[in-house]
Amino acid sequence: MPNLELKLTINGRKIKKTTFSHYRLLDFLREDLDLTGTKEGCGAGECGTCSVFINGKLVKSCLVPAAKADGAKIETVEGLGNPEQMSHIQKAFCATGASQCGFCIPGMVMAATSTLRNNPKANLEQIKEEMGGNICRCTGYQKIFDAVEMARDVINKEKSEKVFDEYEKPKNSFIGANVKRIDAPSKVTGRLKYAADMKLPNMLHMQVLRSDRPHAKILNIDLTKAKKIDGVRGIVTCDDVPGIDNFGVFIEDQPVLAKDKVRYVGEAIVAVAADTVEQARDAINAIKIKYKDLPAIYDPEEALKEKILIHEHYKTNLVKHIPIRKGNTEEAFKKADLIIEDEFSTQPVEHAYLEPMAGVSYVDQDGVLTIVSPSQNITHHRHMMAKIMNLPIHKVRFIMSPVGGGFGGKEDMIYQGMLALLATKTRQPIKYVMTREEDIVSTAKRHPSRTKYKMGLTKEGKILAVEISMLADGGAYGCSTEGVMRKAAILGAGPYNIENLKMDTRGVYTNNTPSGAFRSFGALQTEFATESMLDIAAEKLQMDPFEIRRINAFVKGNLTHTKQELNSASINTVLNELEKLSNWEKGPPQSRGQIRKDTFSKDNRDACELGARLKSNGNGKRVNR
Amino acid sequence: MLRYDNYFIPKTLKEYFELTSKVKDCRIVAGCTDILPWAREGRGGDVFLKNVVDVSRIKELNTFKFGSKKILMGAATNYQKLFLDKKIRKSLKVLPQVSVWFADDQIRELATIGGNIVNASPAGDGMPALLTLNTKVTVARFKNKKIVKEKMPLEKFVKGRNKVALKNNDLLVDFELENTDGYGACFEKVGHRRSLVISTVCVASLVKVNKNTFQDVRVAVGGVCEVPTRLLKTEKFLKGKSIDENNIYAASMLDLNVIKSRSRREYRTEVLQNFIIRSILKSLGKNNIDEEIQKFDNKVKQNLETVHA
Repeated sequence: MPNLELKLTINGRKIKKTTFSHYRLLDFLREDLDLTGTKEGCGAGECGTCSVFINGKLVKSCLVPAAKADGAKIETVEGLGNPEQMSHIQKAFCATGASQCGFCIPGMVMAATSTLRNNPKANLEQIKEEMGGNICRCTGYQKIFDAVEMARDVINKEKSEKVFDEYEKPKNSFIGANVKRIDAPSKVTGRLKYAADMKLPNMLHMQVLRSDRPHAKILNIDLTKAKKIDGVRGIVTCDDVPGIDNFGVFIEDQPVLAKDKVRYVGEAIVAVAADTVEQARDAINAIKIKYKDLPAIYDPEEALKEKILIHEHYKTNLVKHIPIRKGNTEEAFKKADLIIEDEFSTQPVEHAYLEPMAGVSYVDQDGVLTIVSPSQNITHHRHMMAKIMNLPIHKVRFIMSPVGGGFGGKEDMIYQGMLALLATKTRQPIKYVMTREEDIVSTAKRHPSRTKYKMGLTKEGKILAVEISMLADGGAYGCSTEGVMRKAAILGAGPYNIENLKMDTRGVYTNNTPSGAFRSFGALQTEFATESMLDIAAEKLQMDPFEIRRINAFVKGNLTHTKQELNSASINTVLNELEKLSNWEKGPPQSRGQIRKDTFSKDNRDACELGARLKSNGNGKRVNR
Repeated sequence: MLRYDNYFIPKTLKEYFELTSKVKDCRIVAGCTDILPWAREGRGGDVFLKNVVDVSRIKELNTFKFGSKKILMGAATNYQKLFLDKKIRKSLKVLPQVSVWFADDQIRELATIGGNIVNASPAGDGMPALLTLNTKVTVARFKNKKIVKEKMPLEKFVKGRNKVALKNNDLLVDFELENTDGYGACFEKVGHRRSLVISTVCVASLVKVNKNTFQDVRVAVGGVCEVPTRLLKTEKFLKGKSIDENNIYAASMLDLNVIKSRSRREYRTEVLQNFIIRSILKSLGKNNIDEEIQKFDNKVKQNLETVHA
């Protein structure tokens, strides 16, 4: 590949180095200089994990060709401080607990630094606006804003540096205590190594050919041209799997690489390892696949008709049906003063962790296959991998790298199998980093759902009976569908004492992107329906939404939906606290005017309004409402 | 992934034309904030280019000449300058208003106003604002080894969706803008995400007041038609009229047929009318915009019912 010579100053050090002509500044910093505090979250200028200063101006280094930076003064997060000598802003990020997964944090620290350099007295609205180019998925931003305001006040000598060390000693519980996060300094200084930041000698780079068909038979895979590409060291398909080729969190039905047919757009078919990412991409582009398209299912209702089977050997598209029966709903509905019926649907949701999937694999000196990845489930992965690779369990090792956000999305073992095959085949370390686009098409999403709901209540608001039927789109593979259906069934009717319950949750296979684990794991979809039903009931019965919930809330001694006796119940405590903190405007839902009185109460944060830095009064307070 | 063999950064127009007349297969870039996100899966995919020519450091594209009537601004001026520059904030008030809605601070440091105009996206935010400034553009061409410059109105330069009056290696050099000190300005925009958002509808406006009448009104709209355009009927109606609710409302109805979008027309119509009203009120420097605009709410809703009946 053509080269380019760069002369520039990085963090005060003069550097002269030859790099690839096409490298972005981000690639140059990470690949050539190992300055991996600058992260790549999206590669398209959306997320801000790659923010660096060029000649004092903060930019996103994924949008800067390295050639543009020739002769410039670059400052990266490594230049701001180190874990022993942190800047005020870095200390403040530690103090407020602003770093959670930590992947966005180097970029956030850079954006905060830029904001306070440009305007040391920036008010909250100006801070929000200037940091608008950086995304965090964990914190909800409050702790980040708290940190920037804290640092600002220390820089302006309005607060003493002591605020950086005001931690609490937990008494009986860590919950609610502001304790020191021991990993915070490594995160706020960009020193923590995520999987994509790791480098090993002789390491190869993996790229993956993915299906562009939702449902198709694979007739032929032509690797002739790909094998001839310079730097290609190994190519694997499903034929290279030595053991039992399937994995999955609950049902093990997914092959490492598509076998005979593809079941969704984005499914991996061939993996290539080469000396550089570019060579591996060239090889992928040179592979020809012959498909025979099959009729596909995109709708879970269609899947239930069983006209097309996604997995033929199962003879059904039903992944799991979980029924729960408690009491007698039919009889109870007869006594109800009010019966409400409705349908609810939810969409697939991407986890959008800031760290795209990445991993490193190698076979060590003792022949132990080792996988380093941000997996949320390494023990299970290890057992599955032993079967897949036909290895005794002591020859498989999983190391969990720091997880740059998971939210359930990193429970599936969707790329570790390919890493294992190539490390075994080439006997060289292999690294794989997904692009954001690849991550979005190929990894599991939250289950899209449709819920039919029937609720019977007395006129006082007491729930007499509930019938729920939920159908979830599990997508092409089992992943976590079974567990999600269980949780949806067990928790879906909510923390309410319901004596008569008929609950059915079904998950089915379709040719959509697989659905998997996601925060709250199935409970969200059905509980969304339950809570909506309670709001509708409150409106019909002219009751306060809190009140109708209190009447029905679980108390100690109640039986859960699966008839477990409760030793304790906290729902009423939670409701009371919520009502207080939200400055709740009491009354039935329809009694409120066009603007709710509690929406803009003192404890609620204002939405960010653009233009804070254009306002002449400059106090950042909202002028119009 | 974007790959290329050579990346050239000429420093003058002369250097640029000498280079591009010698070297074949040149791709011209400035801020690179469009090409890099484009060369990815699902859009351009793996893109291979021979030569990339970065024009963002050409001297002539970085001029800034300030005059009491006209202001000359280089095409490589970045959006962050439009946002922060004190002279621009005073004399070209509409530009900071656009900039605050344009991507984010970090992208604005790279993205150029010239690149935005040359892309000629129907949803480009720069063009409506420049239209209100009665902008003329300078194009440089290389003829018989000589640099020839041509000046033309912006309306003539942008010919259609992604089409501008540039051939071969012609280059957009600068913009001649009208100094609009004394005008009130506003830019309104809506899309899917606040930062980095692509306009579904955007409106730029400039208003000059003489006592209680509109001395001059300029309104331009983007996102709803192939090329952003001035709302001439609205402007003409208001000029010389007294500043009151009825006149603003009457004017807001006159140009709603500019919407040519295939999708969400009803939504866009409602937004556009609200934006016209809102941007004029804001350009007038009204406080309590939310209260002011509520006075128009019912009228706008009734009008929509008749439009879509």
